[in-house]
Amino acid sequence: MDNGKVQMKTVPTGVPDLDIVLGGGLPEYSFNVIAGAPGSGKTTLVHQIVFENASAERPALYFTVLGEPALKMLRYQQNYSFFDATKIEKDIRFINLSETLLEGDLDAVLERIVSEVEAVNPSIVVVDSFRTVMRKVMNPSNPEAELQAFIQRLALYLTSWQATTFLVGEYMIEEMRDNPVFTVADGLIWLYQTAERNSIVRKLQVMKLRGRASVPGLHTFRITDNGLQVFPRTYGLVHKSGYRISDKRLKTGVAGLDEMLNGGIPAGDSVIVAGPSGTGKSALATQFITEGVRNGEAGVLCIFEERPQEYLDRSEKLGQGLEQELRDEKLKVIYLRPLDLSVDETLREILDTVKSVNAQRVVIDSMNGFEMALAPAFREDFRESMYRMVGALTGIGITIMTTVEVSTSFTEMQFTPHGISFLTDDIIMFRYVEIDSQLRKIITVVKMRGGDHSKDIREYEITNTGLVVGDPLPDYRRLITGTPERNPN
Amino acid sequence: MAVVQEAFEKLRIRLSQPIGAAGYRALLTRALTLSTNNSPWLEAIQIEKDGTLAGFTEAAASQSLSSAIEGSVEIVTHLIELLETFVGRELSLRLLADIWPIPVDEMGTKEDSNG
Repeated sequence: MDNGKVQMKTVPTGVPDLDIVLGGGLPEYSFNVIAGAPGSGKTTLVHQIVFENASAERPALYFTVLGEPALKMLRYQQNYSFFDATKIEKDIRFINLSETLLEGDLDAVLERIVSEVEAVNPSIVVVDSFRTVMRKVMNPSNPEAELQAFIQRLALYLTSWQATTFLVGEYMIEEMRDNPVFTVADGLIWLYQTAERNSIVRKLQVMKLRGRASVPGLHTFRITDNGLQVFPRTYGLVHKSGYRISDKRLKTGVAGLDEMLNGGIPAGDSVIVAGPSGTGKSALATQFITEGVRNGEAGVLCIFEERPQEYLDRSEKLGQGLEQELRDEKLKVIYLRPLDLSVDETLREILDTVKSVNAQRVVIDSMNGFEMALAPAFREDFRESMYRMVGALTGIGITIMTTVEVSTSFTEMQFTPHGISFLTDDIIMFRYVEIDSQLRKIITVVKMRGGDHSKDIREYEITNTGLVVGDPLPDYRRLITGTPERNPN
Repeated sequence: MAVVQEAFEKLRIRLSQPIGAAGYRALLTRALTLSTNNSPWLEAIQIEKDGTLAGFTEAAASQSLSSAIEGSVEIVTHLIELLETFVGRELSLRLLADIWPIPVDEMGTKEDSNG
């Protein structure tokens, strides 16, 4: 006790970043329900919790009941990396309750659980599947009361024996209202699995957690050979390090552009480089990251379209070879294009990489490729997701350059196709113009939140060494239309 | 043959706890079927709902002692092989540790295990 209040210890889940969602972990001795449809990962989740916490002194008791046959469960679960066979029957004991349930009533089930718990003194108790137990209601006139009484007795007993309990069950969300198990439970974790077009999206929600401030909302998770990995939707947005933005300007590696930007991009800004295909967006991004690493500012390149080697080959051709920087770990390349990514997963990967090299510059090339790499369900939230991602990165002082391909006709100009200019500090625009029967390129700084910038529209070329920004074109007007007219003398 | 019955009873009690009576019965039924290829006399044996062997003593009494032992060993071998097939060597040995004559820790299971 401290100041008269109970000290609530937490039980770690062993699931990467689920404890963040749970506000630090599950309260010790809590009575929890893990619910979801078949195949949503309930058993895998509870196995991870069991293997994380069971010890010889305080083992785990895992009651299986007519759900997935125990033989098959053991067969498949041992393929996960967290499954440690040396713990079986010593730290983790599996007990099948199927016969007890088939031959007896709920009292018989409770009696068996009580007898095993008293014999073993477990820290963790699992009943999988509890849904099956609940079907064994003998009193047809008042099934709800019988169930409620059973669950309350079970919860009270297991808590008083200092066990943290997990009831695993296949439930539909509609059942929440009338089912007494959800009323009695201290914690309720719901797992979802939805198929959209050709991709599967997995999310979880902590619908209830007594005694902890869990992070509300749906959080993406993935099941790999290592089990579940959760990607909290607020990852990177909370627990900021109190970073203070400096007045520093970051050179882009293109002298003429730095001049237009009044010395470079303000540190910690989010910059969008927009333009049609072939205008040199990736070339500028390469120059930006190269300029950084050569001045001691580590960088992360997030590539969603080209393959990393193609990207590096092009850099080499531009006289900006990056192989040495990669070997020295001043630069890291993230290549993601599995078509079922979530933004939270991508953000996690980027933030981890940024931290691993202490990066100051990040390039996302391109936003269009990033959107394509996402599962269709996440594309709907693309704007919100980008906002979170940019916020998380700039919040720790990273300067981000994002390329965006826009389709421009010769009569209109679009800054970005996503309507996301609100989340950028600066916008650099490329476009083609027709001058003297030639297709030439112009550059302009459309927006710069941090201060004044050149209003010029300048011509530029992509040379063997990258972008070279030339002079303004004072002899022409209506350049941004793409079909300028020569000024009358 | 009392010792054989006792061995099967130990296996039944031990394995029914983690994998259930139905799970044990399923494995034993398969093991018995596989064993009848070499020992057709085993066909006379029935398996009860809880996994107990019924009619074993009677069937074995009609065989020579060596045939009876050979048939019994065959069922146990198939049963354990099946368990190993489904859950792997290391886990099988751990599930049987309480009733196995050699302690699991002395078997070098880590080196020999499949997974």
